Amino acid sequence: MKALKLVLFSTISLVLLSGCWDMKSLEEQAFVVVLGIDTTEDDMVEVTFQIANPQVGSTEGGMASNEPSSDIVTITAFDVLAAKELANNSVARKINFDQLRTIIIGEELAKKPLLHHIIASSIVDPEMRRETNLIVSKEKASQFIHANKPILETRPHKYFSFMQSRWLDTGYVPFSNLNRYFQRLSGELFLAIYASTERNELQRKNEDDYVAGQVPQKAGDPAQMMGSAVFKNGKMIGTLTGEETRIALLLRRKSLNHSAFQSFPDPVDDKYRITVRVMKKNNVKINVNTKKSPPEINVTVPVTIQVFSDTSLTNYTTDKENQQILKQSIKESLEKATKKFIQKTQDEFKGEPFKWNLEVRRAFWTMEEYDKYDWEKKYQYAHVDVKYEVKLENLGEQLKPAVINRQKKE
Amino acid sequence: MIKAADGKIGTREFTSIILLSIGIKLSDTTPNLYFVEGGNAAWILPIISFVVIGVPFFILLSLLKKHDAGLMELLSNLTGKYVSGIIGLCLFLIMLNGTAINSRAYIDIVNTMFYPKTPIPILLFLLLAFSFLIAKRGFETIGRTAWLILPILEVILLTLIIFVWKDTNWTQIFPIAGPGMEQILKASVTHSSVFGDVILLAAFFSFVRSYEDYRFSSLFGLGLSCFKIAVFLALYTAVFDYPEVSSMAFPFQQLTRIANFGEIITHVEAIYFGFWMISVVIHFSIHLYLTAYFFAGALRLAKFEPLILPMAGLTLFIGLLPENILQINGYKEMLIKSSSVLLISLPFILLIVDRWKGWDRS
Repeated sequence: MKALKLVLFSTISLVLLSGCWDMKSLEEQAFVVVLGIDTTEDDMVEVTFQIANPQVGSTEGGMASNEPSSDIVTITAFDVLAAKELANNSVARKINFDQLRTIIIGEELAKKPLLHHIIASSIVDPEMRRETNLIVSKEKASQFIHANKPILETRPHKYFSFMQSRWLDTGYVPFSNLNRYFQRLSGELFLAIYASTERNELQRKNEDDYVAGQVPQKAGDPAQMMGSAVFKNGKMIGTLTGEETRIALLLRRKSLNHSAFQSFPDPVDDKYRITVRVMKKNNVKINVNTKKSPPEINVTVPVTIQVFSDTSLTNYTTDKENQQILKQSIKESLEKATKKFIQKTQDEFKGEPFKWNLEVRRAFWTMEEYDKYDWEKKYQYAHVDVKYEVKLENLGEQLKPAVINRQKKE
Repeated sequence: MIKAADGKIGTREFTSIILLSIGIKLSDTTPNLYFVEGGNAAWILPIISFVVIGVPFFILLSLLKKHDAGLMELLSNLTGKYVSGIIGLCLFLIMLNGTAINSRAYIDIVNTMFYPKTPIPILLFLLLAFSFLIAKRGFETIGRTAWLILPILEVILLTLIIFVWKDTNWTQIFPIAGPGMEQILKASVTHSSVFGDVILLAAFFSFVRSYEDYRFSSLFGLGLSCFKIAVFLALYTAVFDYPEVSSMAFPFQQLTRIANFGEIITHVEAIYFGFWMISVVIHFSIHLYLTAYFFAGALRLAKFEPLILPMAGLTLFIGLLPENILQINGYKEMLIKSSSVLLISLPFILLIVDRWKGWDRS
C-alpha cells in the first residue's frame, strides 16, 4: 500500500512539476542581447535584434569556429512586441528578452515624441527588465550594431557587461537605464549614454571635451561611447560632452562611483597640462533656498585629488607653495567650467540634470505644494553658486620629478 | 527539551503565523492600494494603521484574558446564539472573499511575471490544493511549517534590501507628507483592515499555549509586519521614485528583478520567487483554516476540519470569477474598506456588551 502511494505521488508530481505550459527548452531560445530601435518616415519602428550565438566563445566553440558570434535581424513593425513576434518568421528559435541588457536608440527616433510611446509601451511586457541600459547612437541603431565588432569580446553580452563597469569607472558617460529614465519625466533632464561608430575626429587639448565620434582614435573598435544625450520629458533635446557629463555627475548629491582622471592647465608652467584623479568621496552638500525669488542654490562639492602625472615636471611634492597654487588653480578651473555648464542648462535645456529637484522636494510638506512651485521654471532663473573644496591626497610614488639638471653640467 | 505534540503551539509558531498572514502583504498588490492613496508618503500609512488597529486589539486582548476563550466562544458567550451567528457569518464572508480575491491576485502575479502561458485556473487550483494539504493537517502543522520557512524568508528579504541598496535614493521619499496629512490619516483608517487579520486570528487564542505567549506573539508579529511593510513601501519609493511607482503593478517582483549580486549573478528573481511561493502556500493554508473555522463557528458545528476541502473548492470558484487583476484590485479595495469598519468596531461592541452584562449581573 505504501509503495503504491509513493508511486502514485511521484507520477502526479511528474505531471505537475514539469510545467507543461511554460516549458522553455534552452535549445529553442534565441537570446537577444542588444536591441536597437530606429524610426521610419511613417512613424513605424525598425527593431534590430542582436541574437547571441551561444556556441561561439564556449567550450563547444570548436564545432562552430566559423560561425559569427551573433545574428543580427532588423524588422519593421508598429512596436517592439510586434517586431519580436515577426522576427520569428526567419529566426528558427523563439525570440527571448531574458538576457537583454542593452537598448540602443537611434538619435533620429530619440528626437521624436514617438520614443516615449515605444519605451513606455515596451516596459509593459514582463520580459523587459527595468535595469536594461539605454544608449543613444548618433547614427541609426542598426548601423551601430552592425559596425560594433569588438575584437577582445567576441560575445556581445560580455562586451556590454564590461563596458558597464567602465562607464562607472570613467564617468565620461552617465549610467542610464530604463528605471532612471522613468524617474525623470517631469521636467528634469535625463542623461543617456551617447555613442557612435561614425568618425568626426577633432583634436582638443582637454581630453574629455568630446562627444562620441570625435575622440581621435586610430584602429580598434569603431564604437565610441562618450558624453550623453539629454532628454527632457521623454524627448532628446541635445548632447553633452564628456566633460559636461562629468560635471553633471559630480554635482549630484550621491554618485555611484566617482573617480575620474582629468587634466587641468598647469598653474606654474602654462605650456603643459597636469593630469590628476578627481574623486568624490563624500556627498555633495546642496542647499536650495525656495523662500527667495529667484531661488538661491548653494552647492559645495568636496573633491579629493591624486596627482599621478606631471608633464611640466614642476615640483609639487615637496614645495608646499606649489601645492597651494595647484589646489587653487584646480578649484578655479572646475568652478569656471561648472559655471559655464550651469548657464548652458539654464539657457539651452531649461532644466537640470543634477537631481536637485529631490532637494527641492525636501523643502515642501506636500506633493501639491511642490507641483505648484514649478521647479522647472524656477530653475531657469535661479542663482546658482557652486564651490569646490579641493583636498590634495596623494602625489604619486616619486618624491621629486626627475628633472634634467642642465645648469650643473654647463 | 522536546515537548510532545499536544495540538497547541508556542510563541515562535504563532509569531510566524502572524508574520506570514500579514507581513507577506508587502509583496502582493496591497502596496498598489497604498500608493494610490498615499503617493510618495505611502510608507506612513501602515505605521498609523498599526495604531488604529492596535487600540481595538488591546481591548480584545483584555476580553480574551478575562473570559479565557477564543474569538468565536467570546462572541457566543457575550452576544448569544443568534447575534454571534450573524457576526460569525460576517467574519466568515470577509475571510472567504478575502481568501478568494487574494489567492487570485497572487496567481495573477505568478501568471504575469513567471508563467504567462499556464492557464490561471490550473495555477489557482495548484495553489489552493497545496494550501489545503497543509491546512488539512491541523493548526499545529500550519504553525510548525510557518516557523520552518519564516527565518529563511526574513533572511531572503534582508538580502533583497542589501542587493538593491545601490539603486536607492532615499531623498525620493520627500515631500514627507505626500498628499497631505489629512488624506494620509483618512487612508490609514480606511485601510487598517490590511492588518485586521490579527483580530481574526484571535479565533485561535485557545490553540496557543498560554495567554502570555499569545499576547507577545500577536503584538510582536503585528508590529514587525507593520514595520516590514512600511520599510518596503519606502524602499519601492526610493528605488522607483514617485509617481512611477504608483503605476507599477507588482513592485515587489520588479524589485527582485532589479536586485543583482555583482556583474555576473544578475537574474536572482527565481530564488525570491521560490521562497515567496512557499510562503504564499502557507499564507493561504492559514486563511483556508480560518475560513472553515468561522463557518463552523457561525453555524455552531462541532467539527470544522472536514470543511476545509469544500472551502478550498469554493475559494477556487469565487477566485475564478473576476476577469483580470485590475478588477480584483477594485474588489480588494472595497473589501478592505468595508471590513475595516467591522473589524475596528467589533472589539468595542464586545467591550460594551461585556461591561453592560457585568453591570447587569452586579
